[in-house]
Amino acid sequence: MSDPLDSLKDKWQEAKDETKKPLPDSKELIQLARNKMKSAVNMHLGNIAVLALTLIGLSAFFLFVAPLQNALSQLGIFLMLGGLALRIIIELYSINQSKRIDFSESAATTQEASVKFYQYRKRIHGPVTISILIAYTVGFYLLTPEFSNYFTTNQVILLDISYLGAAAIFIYSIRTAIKKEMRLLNELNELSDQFG
Amino acid sequence: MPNNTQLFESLHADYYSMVHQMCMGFMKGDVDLANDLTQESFINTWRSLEKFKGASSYKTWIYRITVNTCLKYIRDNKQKKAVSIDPETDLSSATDFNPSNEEPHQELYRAIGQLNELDRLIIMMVLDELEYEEIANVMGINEGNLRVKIHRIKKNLKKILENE
Repeated sequence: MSDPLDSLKDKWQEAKDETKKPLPDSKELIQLARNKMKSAVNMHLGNIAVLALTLIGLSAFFLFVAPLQNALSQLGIFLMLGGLALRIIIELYSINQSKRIDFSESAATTQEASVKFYQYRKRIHGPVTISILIAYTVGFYLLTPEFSNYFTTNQVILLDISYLGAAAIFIYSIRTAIKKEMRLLNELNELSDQFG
Repeated sequence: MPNNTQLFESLHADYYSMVHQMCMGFMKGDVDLANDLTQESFINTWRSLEKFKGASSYKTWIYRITVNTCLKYIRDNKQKKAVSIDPETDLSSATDFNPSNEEPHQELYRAIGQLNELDRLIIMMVLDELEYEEIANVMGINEGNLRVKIHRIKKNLKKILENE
C-alpha cells in the first residue's frame, strides 16, 4: 500500500520552496514586536492608573471634602476604598499570571497554562468582581444616612439613582466579560480534548 | 556570541519559509492570513528570545512558538468567518472553489485543511520531515501517543484524497 503522505510531501516541499523569497524586513518586525509589547504594558498600566486615580480621588474626597464621621459611613468608606484597592491588587496579579503563558513551551504545556489562566480570569470576572461590586454598592449606600445631613432629600435620591445607572453599566460589562471568558474556556477545553 | 537582534535576524532568515509554510497549511492556503500569522509567530519568537535555554534546537523551539501562535490565533479569531476552521461550518473552501484563479497548491492545503487543528499541525511537521521525537517534543505528548495519532491522521488523509 502506498503511503498517502509521499505525494503530499513532494507538494509540501515544492510549496515551501516557492515561499522562500523575498523575506520581510526583520528590523521592522523587531520594531513591531517592541511596539506591541509597549502597548500591552501601557494598556495594563492604563487600567491600573484609572483605578489608582479613582482610589486617590475618593480617598481625598473623604479626607478633605467630606470627612464623614459616623461608624456606618466609616464602614461604607472602608468597603468602597477596600474594594477598589483589592481590584488594583488583582490587576497587578493578573499581569503576572498572563506572563506565565510561555509560547516557547510545548503545545500541551501552553494549552494547560492557557486553560488555568482563563479559569482564573473567569473567577476574577465572575465571583470576585461581583463581590467587589456588592461591597462597593453596600459601602456607597451606607454613606447615604450621613449624606442626608448635608444634601437635600432630592439630591440624595438623585445620587442613589445615578449610582444604580452606573452599576447597571458595570454589571453589563461584567456579563459581557464572563461570556467572553466562557467562550474562550470552552474552545480551550475542546482543544485540550484533541491532545487526548 | 551574537546579540538578540543579530540572533533574531539569523533565525528569521533561516526559518522564515518553514514558519510561513506551516502558517499557509494552517490557514488553508490563505496567503494574507498566513502572512499575518507568520508575522505574529516571529513577534512571539522575539518576545521569547530571552527564554531560550538551549534545551532543544532552534528549529524545534521555533516550531513550538509557531504551533502555539497558530492555536492562539485560531482561538482568538474563531468567530470570524474568514478563519473558520470547522470543516462542517467552513463552506467557503468548497463553495468559492475556482480552479482557474486558486493558489497553485490549494489542493494540498484543502486536503490537510479538512483535519482538525491539532492533527493539521502534526501532519504539517510530518510533511516537513521533522523526527517523531521532535514532533512529540513540540506538541508535548509522548511518542507512542503521537504514532497512534499519525497513523489515524494518515488514514483520514487517505480518505480525503480518495474523495477529492
